[in-house]
Amino acid sequence: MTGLPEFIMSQVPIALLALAVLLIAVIDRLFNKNAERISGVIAIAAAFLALLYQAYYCPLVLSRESGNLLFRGMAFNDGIAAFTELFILFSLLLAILLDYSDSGGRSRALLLLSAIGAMIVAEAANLITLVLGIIILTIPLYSLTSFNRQNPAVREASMKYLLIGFFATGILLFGSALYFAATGTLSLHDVVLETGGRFFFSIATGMIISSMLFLAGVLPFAAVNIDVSEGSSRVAGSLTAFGALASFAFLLRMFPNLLVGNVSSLMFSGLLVIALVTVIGANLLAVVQSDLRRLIACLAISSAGYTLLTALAFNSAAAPGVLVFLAAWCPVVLVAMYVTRYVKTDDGTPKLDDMTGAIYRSPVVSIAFALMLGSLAGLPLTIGFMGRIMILPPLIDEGLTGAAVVAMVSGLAGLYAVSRVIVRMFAVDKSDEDEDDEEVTEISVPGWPESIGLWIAITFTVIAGIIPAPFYYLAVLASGHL
Amino acid sequence: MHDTDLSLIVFGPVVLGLGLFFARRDDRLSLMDWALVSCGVPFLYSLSLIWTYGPDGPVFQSLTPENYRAWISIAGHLRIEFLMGIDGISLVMVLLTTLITPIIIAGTRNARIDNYREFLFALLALETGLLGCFLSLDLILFAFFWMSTLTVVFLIFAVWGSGDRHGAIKFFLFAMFGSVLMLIGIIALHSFSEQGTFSIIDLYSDPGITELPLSVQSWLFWAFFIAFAILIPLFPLHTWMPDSQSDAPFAGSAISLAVLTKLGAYGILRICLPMFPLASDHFSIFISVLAVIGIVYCGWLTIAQRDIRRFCSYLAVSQLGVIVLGIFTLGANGIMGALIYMFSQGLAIAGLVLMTGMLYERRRTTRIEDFGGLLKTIPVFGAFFIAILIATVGLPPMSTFNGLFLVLLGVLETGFETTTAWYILGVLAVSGIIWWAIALSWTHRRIMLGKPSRRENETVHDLGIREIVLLVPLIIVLLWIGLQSSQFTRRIEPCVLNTIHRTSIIPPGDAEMPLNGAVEDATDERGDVE
Repeated sequence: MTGLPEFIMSQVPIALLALAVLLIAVIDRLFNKNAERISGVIAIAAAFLALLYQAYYCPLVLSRESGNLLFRGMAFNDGIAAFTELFILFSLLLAILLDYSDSGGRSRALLLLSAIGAMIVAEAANLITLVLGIIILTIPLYSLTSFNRQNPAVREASMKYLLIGFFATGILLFGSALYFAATGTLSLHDVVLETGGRFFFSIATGMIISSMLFLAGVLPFAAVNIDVSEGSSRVAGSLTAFGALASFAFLLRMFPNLLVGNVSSLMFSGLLVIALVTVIGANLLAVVQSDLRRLIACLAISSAGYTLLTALAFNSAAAPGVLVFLAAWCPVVLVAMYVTRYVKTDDGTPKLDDMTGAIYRSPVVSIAFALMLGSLAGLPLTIGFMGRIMILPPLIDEGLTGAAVVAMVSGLAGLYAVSRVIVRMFAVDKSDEDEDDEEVTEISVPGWPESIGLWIAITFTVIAGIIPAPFYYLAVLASGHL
Repeated sequence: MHDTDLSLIVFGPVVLGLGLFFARRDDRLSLMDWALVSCGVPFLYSLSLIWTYGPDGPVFQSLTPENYRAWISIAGHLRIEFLMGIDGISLVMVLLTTLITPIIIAGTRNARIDNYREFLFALLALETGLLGCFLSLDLILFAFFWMSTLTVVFLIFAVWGSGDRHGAIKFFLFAMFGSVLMLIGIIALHSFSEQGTFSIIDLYSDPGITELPLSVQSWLFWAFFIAFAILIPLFPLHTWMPDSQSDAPFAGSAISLAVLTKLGAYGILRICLPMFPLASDHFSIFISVLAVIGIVYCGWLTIAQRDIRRFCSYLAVSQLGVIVLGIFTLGANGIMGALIYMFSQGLAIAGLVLMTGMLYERRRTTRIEDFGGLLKTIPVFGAFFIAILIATVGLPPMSTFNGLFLVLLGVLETGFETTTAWYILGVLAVSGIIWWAIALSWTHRRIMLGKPSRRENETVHDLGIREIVLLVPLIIVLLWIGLQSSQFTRRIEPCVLNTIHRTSIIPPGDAEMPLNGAVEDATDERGDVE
């Protein structure tokens, strides 16, 4: 295996997923009966094998002193890409397992396609690659949003996603054009400005970063995510997880090139304001939510804000901190969103009150949900706590102590929001009192793949919270390639 | 002298407590028995510390072996260690925790608690969290156990409490606000330290920390102090206490008043005083004023309470001000007195809360006016109640008196050495004893004396053997320390002197205080305490 060319070895996971998409498309056509079961097996197998391979290949990449360029400079093969792709694939596997019983072949294929797009974005070394990756990441998920067209919330969500997403892509394309005008190339490395290109380069930078921030999930770009999550939690969870991992991989590489030495101070200040507004705004919004999915979406947006804040600290601790924090919250948000699908309500939108006494009705789901929320709030014994520890040193070392204090204190609002849910989950035992009460919301795990997915998520969250050293070590090695 | 494995003491309760989930959920006796084993074994093992901890040896003992310390350790980046160790201060706290927990768990036998198994496990997890805080010598590890403890306390208050749980959420938000500030302070300390370490032992002697100017020390001091002051709770950050305590289950209330509040005081002794001596000295009078206001104001409020649970919580807040006052005398007697008082007041208040819980189980009410004339009906209860009240007020021969006396002596000594404002503080602090005595004697009169005011009070049954067995160890320990306090102070005196030496204002550039052998140097310099 190690004798193969690097450009093949680095793309094996993408190839596996693409092959799975093709097989699912064929099976969907050829087999009416058993098509769903077969496609499910193929999807799980592809995601699992891709993850296993990436777990083997990632250390090989990280052991090198620096990254390489592939496909004539179209893609990076470095530690940042390897690390984020590992967690994209992990999130993908969880998504497939947690939605196994409710998914058909088409939705699995779309999910696999979006994961492919995310990995392409994470590797992008050229604006064409970037645009391609974003389109492959987002279009399948936009399509997935509109599967249940009878639900008005779903229709609203899909329309919002479509409009905002296309605007963002359009801005990216426009920015790419200006970038080309300024530099004479669409390459994102070894950039040399043309004479008089500084003005266009600055605008291009702003446009590119803006469109990536939409994908990253920060305010005000990602405000639509809160509404979308109400209509389609699996799309919201997947897009948040894949989008954040992919976009921050891109931004980590690009910030030092795009911000330093250009219109950096104004742009830096603007990004700092965006990060703080995201953290403060999302945490405060979380307090007033009564819908579980909207609450999780707000917590996800605040996590993206913390990530952006840390990414703006250009020191040696920032990149490892960003990577570990991404690994801490992206899979967790995805799991939390998917778990809300197990809460069976009449209108399909689970509220906080539906979780009353949940621990007694469905302990595994409740414990998983509590751990995911606790991780997003940064409680100990979860990877979220370790992630918060990792993002503080770069901020303080860079002199952004005030921003760190504001961000962490505003996190109390998110903590309050989470505590409201946890208190409801544990507080009242309704299972004995209200056996015949029709108002008790059913919470149940549909099948064994979902149970496996939940236990994988629980194990990851707790074990990584107690033993975070391996993730931190990988993140440090990955950051060495910047 | 062989080292005690502190990890066994810390993780013993929660690991053994996992066995609860193999027992039947409705078999309360078996569950309680196993929970007693889970906390009893660490208690017995912790008693070995009395013999293995040598006051004349190194300041920190039973340190985690080198090859077990690595938690996150990457050269040039973060280094977070799983480092535990014990000194005189943490010895007191560990013994308090391991002694109190089995008593509190045994006291839940007749309590009507839903999901009893999970409740017992939560109490054991809380014990692990508290012990972890007292024994951690790495700041991140300390923060990890600190926030875990607060989370478990919140769950105990919220899940098994009564009422609308606003008190529980109020406590959680107060405590987490402090935790956030503390976390930022920890990271800031790390960035200032020249060694780039989170180890408390290394930070004590790190030039980057010891040479911090007052302006920087002040910010760091307050970042930590606010977190600890919230937990104590020090006036005016005390408002969460009465609300949360009146909602909490009695066992949760007992352990939080007895041990959790001492965690804040421990943090001041472990971090604030040694690492920020300039700031500690600069703000000592201000903080002492807050402490005295808390003693007097909350002492008055205690008298006015009609609910026995809010009575206990205001009384505790008032008494905890004495501990803060003693610490910030920055003198040997004051700190020694604070330590004795921390231990003794913890036992006394736990006893008081347990007895109020016993009353609640019999009468299903916590309103003081619903009692009356109980002494005729339950004389044995009355006898133990008097003993606990004497201990709570701080009268001899109970050890709370020893602690109070040393604190006041320390206040007067500090007044003699510095400013006469301390004399005024001392007088006001002494008045606290008067308010407590009024509150407790009046409450005792309303509950125990006179004719039974209600028919229900005539049929209340007296203490059983099991309940007596719970209270006897508390009273024996309080009496023993009260009469033989030198046995107690001998072990912690070198540690106290070491803390004072670190808190002495050492001009930047002077030789740093060595850790090993520091005990002998400090003792030679300072002489005897008593």
